[in-house]
Parts: sequence; structure tokens; C-alpha cells
Amino acid sequence: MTWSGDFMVKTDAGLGILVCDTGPLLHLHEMGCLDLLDDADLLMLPTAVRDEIVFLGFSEILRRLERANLQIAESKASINNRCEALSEIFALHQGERECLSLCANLPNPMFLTDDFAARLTAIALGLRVHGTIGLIVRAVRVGRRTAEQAVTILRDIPDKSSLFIKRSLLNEIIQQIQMHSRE
Amino acid sequence: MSETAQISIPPRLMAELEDYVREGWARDVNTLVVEAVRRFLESHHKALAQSFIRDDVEWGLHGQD
Repeated sequence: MTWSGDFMVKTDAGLGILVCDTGPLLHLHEMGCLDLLDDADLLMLPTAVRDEIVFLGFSEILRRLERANLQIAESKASINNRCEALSEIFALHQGERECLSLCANLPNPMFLTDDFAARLTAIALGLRVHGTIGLIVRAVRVGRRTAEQAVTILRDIPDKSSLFIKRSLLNEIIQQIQMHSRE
Repeated sequence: MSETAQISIPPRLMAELEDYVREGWARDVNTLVVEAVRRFLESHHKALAQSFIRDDVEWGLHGQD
């Protein structure tokens, strides 16, 4: 167990090797939740994602992630034909393609993306894949956020984040967290 | 019967679309754009999106990792 800010953080249920797409990095940054990536034993970004973050003017995200065992992977070293074929079919962007190629070359990685086509491809490749919402809900389970804090983050998504989610579904998730915290 | 919509396409993307048409891969840019939109809607199906997010919540609340 390690102490981090106001919360007792469990480090025995880590995320393992985490490969992250651009979307979740931006969304977590907008919500002030980049620390949720600290649970990764190794956080890997392909060069296309790193370049996109810089291009969009969010270099501070990369500086923050250096504390989370960030490693930038050269995309040339991770070409995979099956990934490429599926990526073509689903018309994925370069960052998503490189993330998937990277995952295909790693032992049991988790892929974090909010792009549904990329997620479909990842499932087809048999990868563990989750999105920003999952990571926020998980934060309650592992003690990085209280249920109340997670609910506030989720409620703020429409105003503070570029992550789009149907309001009724968001309310449903909030109710689930509240019910779960009362159990 | 089709609806008409006016859209702006970045020049580089437009050039690529025109290349496809010029090389004979598609009848015209309109056809390509409609096909791209159809593919987007197929892969971003609302029910699928909800299912992914519900899976995430389930993992978030009860997962082991």
C-alpha cells in the first residue's frame, strides 16, 4: 500500500501494461484524472499518439505521464499484418493503428480507447480493452476516488470533457455507482 | 430519394477522395462520402456504444484488474 494525496491507494490490483490511445488521455486530462493511469505497471504510447498530443497542444499531459512509467514506443518496431488488415477494414486513424500493433506485440496488455471502431478491432484481436468511463468507475473499486467523487466527475463530463455520452446512460452509471457504494 | 447536405472537407482529404475517383475505385466523391458515413454508422452503432460502456462499468465495479 502507498499513500497518495488523500487516498490510500491499493497497488496490488494494477492495470499491468497499458497502451493508451489519444482520446482517453485528453478526456482524463479534462477531468483532472490523469493520476488514474498511475496504476499501470508500464504505460505505453505509440509515436503517433505522442505526436497527436503534442500537435493538439497538450504536451503537459506527457510531462505528467512521465510519473506513470510512460514509455513511447517506436511504431516501426511493432508492425503486425493482421492488425493492419483489421485497421483498414475499420478505417482506423494512425494512432489507433499503432496502439493495436503495439498491443499485438506485448504480453497481455490492456488497451485504453474511447473509439468504438478501435475497440471493435481490439476485441477481434482478443485484447483486453476498456475506456475512460471504465477507468473512472474502477477508481472507486481500487480506492483512488470515493464514490461521491466519481459521481461528480461523471456528472461534469458534458460540461468539462470532449467525451460524448448519452445523458440517460450517464445517469444510469451514476445510479449504479451510488447503489454499489451503499452495498 | 436522398437528402442534400453541405459539408466542408479538408483539402488533403478531398485530394485523396478525388484520387480514388480518378483511378476508377469509385464513381464520384459523393458515393465515397456516403460509403464513409455508412461505415461510420455501422462501426459506431448506438447499441454497440452502450454495450461497450456498460461492459466498462461492470469491469470498473467488479473487475479483478
